[in-house]
Amino acid sequence: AVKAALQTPPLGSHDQAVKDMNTEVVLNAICSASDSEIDKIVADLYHNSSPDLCDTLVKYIYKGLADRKYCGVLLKWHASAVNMAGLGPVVRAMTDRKTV
Amino acid sequence: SSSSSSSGSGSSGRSSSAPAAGRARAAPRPSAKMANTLKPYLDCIRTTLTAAMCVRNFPSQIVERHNKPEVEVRGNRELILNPLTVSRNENEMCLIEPSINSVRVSIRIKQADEIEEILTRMFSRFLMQRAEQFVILRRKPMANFDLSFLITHKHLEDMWKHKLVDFVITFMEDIDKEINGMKIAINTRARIVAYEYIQQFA
Repeated sequence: AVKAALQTPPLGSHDQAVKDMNTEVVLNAICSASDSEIDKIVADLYHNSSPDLCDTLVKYIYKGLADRKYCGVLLKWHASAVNMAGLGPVVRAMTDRKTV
Repeated sequence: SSSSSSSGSGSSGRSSSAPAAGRARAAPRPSAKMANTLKPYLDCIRTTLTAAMCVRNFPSQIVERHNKPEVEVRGNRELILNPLTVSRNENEMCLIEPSINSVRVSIRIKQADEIEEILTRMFSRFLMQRAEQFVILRRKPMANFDLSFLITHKHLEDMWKHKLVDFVITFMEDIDKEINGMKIAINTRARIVAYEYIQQFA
């Protein structure tokens, strides 16, 4: 479910409503995963699907943290994602003009 | 006058000092949930800071021979990166604004009640007045935040990046502990003062 939600992010879209709805969907999917599944999902994302999805995941994590909801869960996901994919997604979240 | 003012605050503190002292005693003992989010919060900040502190010298494009931190100038959009927020809950957050030659880190310290708010304000004012000794501290915090650091390429040329990140993280931990300690000391002192004051009427 998380993978499906991350597939087509509205990068570069100017419509704020679309971005908000997408963020809601992704955050819902992220928060419904239990703790033990986080590592597995992130590993699956990184190894099997393209690493782009990991980048998108980290971008959504930061967006969720900025809204200050679900902080505990998002911090766990962040630790797991950085473990898996390193600092690359973090840097790309900072530098990418097309924000989620 | 000083005794009356302190006893005035003590007597008003006396009525609330019992629950406040109870709260002060309970405050430094973090509930399991709070203690659980501290380490992931600091780890997240550590990785984000390590990624953000990739700065290099970049003289100003607008004025010749000037070298300004782009995150402060905000003149050219291509030199500023997306700001990232790391938050632990509604009240504690850390805003990291990177740019090509500087990083601005703003933190908002947990302030549960009015006493902690006053303590945070005074403590951060104390630190910010001595910002020159601190080197990386900013003299004014950003809006909605308590403390701001400004780290430029010059600092990273002199200091190790991982040590700077360690410093910021331990700073955040210590400031929480110090404010808790100060609050306990205040409540203890207020209780003692009020007790002594009431004694004379006993």
